[in-house]
Amino acid sequence: MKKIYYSLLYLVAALTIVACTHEEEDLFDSSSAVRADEAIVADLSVLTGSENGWLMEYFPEANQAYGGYNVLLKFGTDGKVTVASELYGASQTATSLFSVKQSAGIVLSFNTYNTIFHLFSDPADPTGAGGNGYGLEGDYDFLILEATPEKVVLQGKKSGGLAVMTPMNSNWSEYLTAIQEADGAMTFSKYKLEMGGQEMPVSISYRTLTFTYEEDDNTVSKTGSFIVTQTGYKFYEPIVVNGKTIEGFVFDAANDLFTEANDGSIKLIPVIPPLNEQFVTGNWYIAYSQLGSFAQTYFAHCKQNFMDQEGEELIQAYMGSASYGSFGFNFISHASDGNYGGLLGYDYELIGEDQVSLVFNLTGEGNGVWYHNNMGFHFLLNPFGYSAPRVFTLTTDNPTSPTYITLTEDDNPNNSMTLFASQIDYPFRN
Amino acid sequence: MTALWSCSEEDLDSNSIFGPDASVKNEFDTWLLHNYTEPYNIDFKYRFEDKESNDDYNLAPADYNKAVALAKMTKYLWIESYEELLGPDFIRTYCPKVMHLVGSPAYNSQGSIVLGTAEGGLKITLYNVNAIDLNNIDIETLNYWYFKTMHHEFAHILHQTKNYSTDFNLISASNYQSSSWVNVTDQEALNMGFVSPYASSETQEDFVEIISIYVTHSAAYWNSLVGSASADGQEMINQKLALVKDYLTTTWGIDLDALRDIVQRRSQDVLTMDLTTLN
Repeated sequence: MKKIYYSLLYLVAALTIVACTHEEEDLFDSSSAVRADEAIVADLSVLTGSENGWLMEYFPEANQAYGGYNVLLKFGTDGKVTVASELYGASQTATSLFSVKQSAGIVLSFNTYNTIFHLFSDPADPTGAGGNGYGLEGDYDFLILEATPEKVVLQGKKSGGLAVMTPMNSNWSEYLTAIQEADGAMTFSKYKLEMGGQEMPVSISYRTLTFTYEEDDNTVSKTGSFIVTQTGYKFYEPIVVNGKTIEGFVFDAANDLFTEANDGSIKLIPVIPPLNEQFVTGNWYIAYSQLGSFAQTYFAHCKQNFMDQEGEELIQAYMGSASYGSFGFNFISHASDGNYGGLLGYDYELIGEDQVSLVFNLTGEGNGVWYHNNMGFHFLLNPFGYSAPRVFTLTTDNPTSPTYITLTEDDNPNNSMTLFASQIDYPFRN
Repeated sequence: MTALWSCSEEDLDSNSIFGPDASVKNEFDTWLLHNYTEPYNIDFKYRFEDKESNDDYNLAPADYNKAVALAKMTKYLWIESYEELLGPDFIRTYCPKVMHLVGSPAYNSQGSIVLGTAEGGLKITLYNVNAIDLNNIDIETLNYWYFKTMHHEFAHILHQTKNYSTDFNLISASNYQSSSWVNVTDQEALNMGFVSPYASSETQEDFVEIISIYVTHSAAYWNSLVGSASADGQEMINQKLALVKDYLTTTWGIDLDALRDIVQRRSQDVLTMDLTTLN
């Protein structure tokens, strides 16, 4: 028994020696906190080190649903960051505070409000994109994944999307002006892709392109988010369309088309719909002063004999389909107890590329029928074609992107009406 | 023998692993240190902190200049009002230890907007700070968004610390609306015996809405508010107000009318306050 006792004692002693001498080597020279502090200092000096600031390619929202935007940032050693972006005036800047801190990684935090930068994360939805409470769903906190003087890679903490920053080497406002001009020249409403002798339709939503094609008897849709550069569109990440990788497009202004960044045989071609198609697919606002004498007579009659009598006023009137999903004459009228809206439906027939035949189809949506029967709105419909079709020839300022369309009736040149692409409030006051 | 082989102990690292962040301290930080942290032990977080907020909401940070104005007004109108009435110890003991500012509102899925939140007496979050119009200080708006909220949330802290009589919960027991309060109009609320639609959501909100609306408005406003309720509504509101006043006096030594007088006087002073200079 005693022998066992001594054996155990020696064993314990031996173990103790082993335990002591076998101390684990530290993997790192310093503690995690010290290393984090060092990383913060290093990242901060990279951020503040770029004399003329950084160009950030920023794609808000977890799936980059709105595409990407050029943002310029200058981080100061005073803890302030100055920001400009293509979505504001080219020489406009906003300054706020930033921090670099540790929080599940090293985080760059834009932690006081910056009008320009937080446009992307403002839930009040100033751009009217994602709805109240959402907005563009961008980030205010970014994990710093990589920081060198040549490149900083950030990851939105909430969205998970990557934002890459490279040193900004040129004049800020000149750069943003160039981007804004390029964007203006490269904005189209519809495209087609030519690839390997085939064509496929391409649609655009914000800054995303969706390619639709057939593959093994299935219809496939691929969407890519892009940012506008001075030379074309650049995708957030390459996308594969019908077996081909597409990284982006270079705009060929002379030929009004785009070619793929690496493969010039792949062409993205803007499709400009005929003017009469643009008329029946858009929304065209009415202003009394821009109506011909023929139409003004009918409009004035309705106003004086019906609307004024009832104390109502038109807030808006347009030809289009935005409110009820079908084409026709749309209105909102202001009455003493609130606003009332409605549609009076139209049938149309496209003739050639610049003519359209219009006629009231005896249907109504919302308060349409009531206003037709009680507020004399049939007078407003008459110039567009009421009981019989009227045929109009359409003209515009810019066939690619019309700001207005003038309808002139073939059989009655006095019946000419200019309608506008941008919203007009109070048609009788304009 | 044991001593011979005992291992030498490593010294603990004197550096905390919770390192300070690398924010550059500015004059507002220094002002907050002297006006909030040192006297009241309040961490006034004007810089937006993700971890302090609810991840379900999309939010934006507070504007620096508006945060400065709100910090100055909150100290004068809220902290110092209680200090004036009860001396320095009360507010130092019971005030929330963290105040967090958020620039945007927080939008709920039911379509309502969160004005503020208090968590277990520790923290008050104020939303929509960026709506402050520095060129046009309007006490009604400020009360609605911030100071009523401060009194509202602070009243939660008080009753969470020492509860009020359950008699209060019985007065409108059958009328509480839960989350459907968003569909209740002002007049419907008054007729059911609630001073606001939100007060109709549950008993504790009812309790603190009475306090916060009472102190942030004049006696005339309160009387006309209660006077516009139905006879039943008026009776219920007055019963509840009596219990609220009794609770505040006996439990905390707070005379609600005296507090209202102080808050009303200070509300007028705010209109001429310098809201930008940090001294």
